[in-house]
Amino acid sequence: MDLEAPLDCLSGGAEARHAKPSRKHSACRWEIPTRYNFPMPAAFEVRAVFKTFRHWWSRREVCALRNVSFAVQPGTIFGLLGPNGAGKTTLVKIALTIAYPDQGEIRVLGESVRNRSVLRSVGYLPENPRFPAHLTAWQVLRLYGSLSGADTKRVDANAANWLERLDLAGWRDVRVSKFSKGMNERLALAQALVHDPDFIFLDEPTDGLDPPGRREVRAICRELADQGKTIFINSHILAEIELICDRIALMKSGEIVEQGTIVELTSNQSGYELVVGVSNELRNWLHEKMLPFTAVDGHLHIHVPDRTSANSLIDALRAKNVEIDSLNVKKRTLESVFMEKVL
Amino acid sequence: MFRPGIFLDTFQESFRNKMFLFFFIVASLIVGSIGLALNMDVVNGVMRGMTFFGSELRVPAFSVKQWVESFQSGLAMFVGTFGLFLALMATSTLFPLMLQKGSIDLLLCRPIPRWRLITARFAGGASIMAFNAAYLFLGVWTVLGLKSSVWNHGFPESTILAIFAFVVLFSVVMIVSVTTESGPAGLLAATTLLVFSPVLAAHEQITPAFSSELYRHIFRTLYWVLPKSAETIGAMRRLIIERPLELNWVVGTSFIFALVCYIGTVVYFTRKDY
Ligand SMILES: Nc1ncnc2c1ncn2[C@@H]1O[C@H](COP(=O)(O)OP(=O)(O)OP(=O)(O)O)[C@@H](O)[C@H]1O
Ligand SMILES: [Mg+2]
Repeated sequence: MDLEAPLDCLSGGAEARHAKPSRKHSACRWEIPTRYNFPMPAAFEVRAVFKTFRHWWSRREVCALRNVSFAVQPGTIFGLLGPNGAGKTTLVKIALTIAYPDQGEIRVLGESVRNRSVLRSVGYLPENPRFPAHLTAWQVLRLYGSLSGADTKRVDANAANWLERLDLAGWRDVRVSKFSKGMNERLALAQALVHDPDFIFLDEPTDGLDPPGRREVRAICRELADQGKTIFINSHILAEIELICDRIALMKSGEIVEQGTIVELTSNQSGYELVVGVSNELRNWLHEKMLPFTAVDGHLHIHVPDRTSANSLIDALRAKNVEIDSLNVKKRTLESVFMEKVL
Repeated sequence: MFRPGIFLDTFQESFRNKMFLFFFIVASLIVGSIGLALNMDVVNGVMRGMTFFGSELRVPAFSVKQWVESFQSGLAMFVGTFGLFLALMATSTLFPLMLQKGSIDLLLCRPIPRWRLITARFAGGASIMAFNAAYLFLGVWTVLGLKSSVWNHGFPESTILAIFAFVVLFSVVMIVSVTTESGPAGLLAATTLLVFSPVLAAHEQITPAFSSELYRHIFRTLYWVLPKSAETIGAMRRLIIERPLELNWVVGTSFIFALVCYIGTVVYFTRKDY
């Protein structure tokens, strides 16, 4: 399949999104919808990627990605969120040519990944990294640094630096087979950074790390982004993502169901909450009006979905001489967005 | 740009997991015991007797040259059967180790074409064994030469055939263990070919006993297609005792088989989703 050939599937909107992957898509024209046009060239651009895993010996097919399209701007930290099996790792693997798409194109740092030379500037921390057991931490970094095409001097300097930074300096000459899970994960992060990449994929980067380790990873991500590098994080740890990502996308069963900044995603109000004192008369009235409420510590918390109903309720309560203790705007949390959109 | 990373790492790995060391020590023991413990009693170019670790062995009254050649061909047969099996066993884990989840990702995400990764691994495994074979054969040849002054060229030359026999079967290990991601499967396939190669080599004697022309045809085709390991090892002996050799057919068809395995592996490996 010719990936350079124009593709139109993005502009097809919902129709294309639900279309089954088929060869005919590659024959049609490709137009980039305005929402994918960024002033700067995107550091990462996914265009209508489809991927189905098939096994020749069985009929089972797993549709891992369906018409996935989005872009990541340079110098930002992007989080891809989704439940287990959503297709997050598959997308990253396709971006790194570890797996191949059925259709669509991925561009990293402005170049199609079919041109593998762009991988020189890409770092990758895989999901369950496993290093050759016979190597020491130092040898691991030198091996992978040189495989990424960086020159030895630079790799040596960076390796020393990252080992120090990730608390592994004392383990430099110890074989990785003696490492704990968290140490292995730290080394994997060092490995992803040792050749000074401009774009870094981190698949579950805090998996197995202790709280100080997680914090260090967040700090490193922020520093790298401030230096203009782009970071792409796969995770389902919402608190983690909320703390570091500038922008996120939610993925469900191989489709992107929502994307934006955390503020954008959580800014939608999920209604209002009025707090008033408890009285039996009021309870009966609320039951009669079928308004949902909860009783907490001698107060009734009444939930209303929008501003108009909140105002009407206030009018009604004031007409009954009920004192309103407080009125809260209920914000959505990332977790509630995740639960609503993805589960 | 050539990056020797994987190639060198295969060596390093074989050093660390003692595989290289094992073969090196065994080869050294063989060379050393011949050098230190073997004493030949040669009178006028004829072997009269010899002592090995101090005990006297009676030998037929061969000429020294005959004796050295039969010793060398015995060693070549041992290396070509048992040694070959050990070498295949030791190297059968090389590919599955590389393909493990979590390690293969770290290799495939580099700006290196996939065929180069798998080729470097193959070359690494083959070179380890080639080095050890060359060390053993040249060592034995030198020590025997110093003791008996017989410097035949057949024995050192037969190293090339031993390495060739290994490389051909190693390509079988490669294609099977890459496609099945299992070391034992690769070893099993290669050993089966090794064990059945003498049977196929005897096809001219065996096929007339078959009742149907179809079976004869299948048997001959198998002989024609599959690597001729037994004949390659047999050729080592003929080379050492300076008998005429008809190698082109044996080497040619085995080489084509290995090449097909190599190309098949490369095609599979470059297309597979990991
Ligand atoms: N090599 C493969 N062969 C067959 N199916 C695969 C392969 N890799 C992934 N899949 C399938 O693709 C789907 C997406 O898997 P993927 O690993 O991308 O999920 P994920 O979002 O990373 O999940 P997790 O959060 O658990 O890591 C799953 O259903 C999985 O079974
Ligand atoms: Mg994953």
